[in-house]
Amino acid sequence: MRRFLLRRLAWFALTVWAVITISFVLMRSVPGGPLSSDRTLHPSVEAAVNARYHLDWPAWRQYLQTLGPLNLDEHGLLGDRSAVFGGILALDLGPSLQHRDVSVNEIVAQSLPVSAALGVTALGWALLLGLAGGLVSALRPGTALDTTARVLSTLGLSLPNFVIASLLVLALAVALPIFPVAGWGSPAHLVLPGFALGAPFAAYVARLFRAGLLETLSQDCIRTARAKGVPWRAIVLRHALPGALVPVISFLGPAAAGILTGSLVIERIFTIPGTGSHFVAGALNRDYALAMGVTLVYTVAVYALNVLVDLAYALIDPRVELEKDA
Amino acid sequence: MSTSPRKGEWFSDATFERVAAQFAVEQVPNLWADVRRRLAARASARWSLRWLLALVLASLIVPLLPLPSPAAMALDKQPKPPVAPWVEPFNERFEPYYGELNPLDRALVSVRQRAFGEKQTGPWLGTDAKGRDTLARILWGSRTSLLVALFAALTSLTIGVAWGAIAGLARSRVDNAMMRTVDVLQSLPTIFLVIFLLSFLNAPSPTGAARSVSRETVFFLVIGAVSWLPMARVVRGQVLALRSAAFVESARTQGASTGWIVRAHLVPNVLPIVLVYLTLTLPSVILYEAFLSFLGLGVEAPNVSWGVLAADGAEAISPLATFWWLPLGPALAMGATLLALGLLGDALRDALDVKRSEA
Repeated sequence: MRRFLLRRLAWFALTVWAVITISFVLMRSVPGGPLSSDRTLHPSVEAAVNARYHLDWPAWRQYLQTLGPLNLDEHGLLGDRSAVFGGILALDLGPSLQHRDVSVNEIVAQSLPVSAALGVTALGWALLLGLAGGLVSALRPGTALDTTARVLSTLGLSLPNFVIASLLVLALAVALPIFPVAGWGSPAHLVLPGFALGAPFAAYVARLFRAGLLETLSQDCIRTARAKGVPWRAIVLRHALPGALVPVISFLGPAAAGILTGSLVIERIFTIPGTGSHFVAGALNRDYALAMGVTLVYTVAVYALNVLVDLAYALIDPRVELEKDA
Repeated sequence: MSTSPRKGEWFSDATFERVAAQFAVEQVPNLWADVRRRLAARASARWSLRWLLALVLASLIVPLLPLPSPAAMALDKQPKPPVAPWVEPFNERFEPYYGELNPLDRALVSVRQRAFGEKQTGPWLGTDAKGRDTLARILWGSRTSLLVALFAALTSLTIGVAWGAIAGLARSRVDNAMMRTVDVLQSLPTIFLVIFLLSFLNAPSPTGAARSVSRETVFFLVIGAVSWLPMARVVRGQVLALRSAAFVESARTQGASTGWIVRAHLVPNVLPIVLVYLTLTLPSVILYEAFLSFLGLGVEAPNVSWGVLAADGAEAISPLATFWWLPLGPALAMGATLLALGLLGDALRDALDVKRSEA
């Protein structure tokens, strides 16, 4: 267990370092720099701006300051010894280049709860609909109910989430004004975006759960349980369910990553002030610090979720050995 | 005279060769004939294939069709709702403005002008806020999606298959290095890096000069760079499994060369799984393109893609005025195509009897 966590931590550090370095190299290799605009600035203003964001330093010093292993001070020197680390190692993502006087940390802190609420709603929809659909399909295979569930899951898998979102808004917000078209603030604002974001994953969960249940229900131990008179409900709940849930749980890691990615588009459609819409706005407005900060936050989130899923996987299924998979 | 070997009797070489020849003749062509038969027996596979072929054909000959231009605007007009083809089959208001076209398309458009003149189809699927015809835009937009899919298929089939096969065949150290590379590339949050990368190329160049690499080139490179990873993994797994399979080892003990083993045993056995994974790669790449174009990071105007159209459609939704045809058209086109690819993939997987492993 400890070795597993340590190894994952090492991979994690490597990935984060790769993301930072790739981002930094890309940032530096763009002609013009992040602050160039259509207007030409007065040379003295430009110098002041460059000094403010340390763009006048040599590249290696900027890299050290961004990453922060030595905690360079305002002048790029080893003056400040109050803390061992600065920069990203001290969880400081730096100032935003477009929003003046706001740090990337503040933007993330403000928008992350919004995105988290959306993501949790989406995951809730995915599990609720996926498990219910898979259960119904597997318990009544071959019936009209099963066929309906399977057609719906094929549809959900093949439609992109923004198409589902557009159609949902047309039907349930414009034609029948039940839910708000867009915006943020009340629980009703969460329903449609959460559903659109979770639908493709609900479809996949339904498929996995159906296949898993059908397989466990066909095993000998189930037949034995039926033969000795265990009620059907108890067989399904106590004997079949845990085994059938294993593939679903291992899918939760990729699903969470996919929900994070999908939230970029969904937040834009529904004008939700989450981290994803800040990221897209940052990327479109060339706010590299913001874009890199959010990329890092998402990398960490996906990694942490994957480790959690692997741990849960090992707890449910005693055959899984953590050390081998890492 | 009976040629069938009796129990306890050794095979003569001649018998062995005859039996082997029989198997060779019976098995190899029958697999694909069998696959064809099984695919044809499925209504969903038949219709998917028809839809995809029709789409490919339409996207190839779209400049020849008597459609309005996808770029010709009429700025003073409101979006027009769809008019049924039997109400207004054609009108004479064709405007030959296409923006920049490659020479081949320009030639095709001039053929179209000579053949149909001013004649063009009516707004069967309505027009958008700039007066552009939705049907023409959907058909021209299909070219982007199909081009991206074609490009991703090529990189998957060349880089992905070669990478996986070499890693699977090579000794452990090369294999290790190659697969760690794939691991690192796959664990990067690619979509964020891609958006990040494209955002740089969004930046106006300070000198105002054209950049040496266009955004679309980078866009294609990026899609190529990420689309081969799952294929490499799957092919390596299959090659590893085959390398230690009994029939390969027996071929090796009989002195078969590596080239022969690859040609006679590996390629035919890797091909089904490659085909099945291709049907999984294509929809995800089409989605990827649509996703980036939706965010405004894909193709640039006047080019269109389904993602651009979906974004326009999503923007047009408001409770005040319902331009329902704008989101519905691209949604149906994209949905039908992705559904067709998915159903075809399912049918192919069942027909080839490939087990889906988590790659």
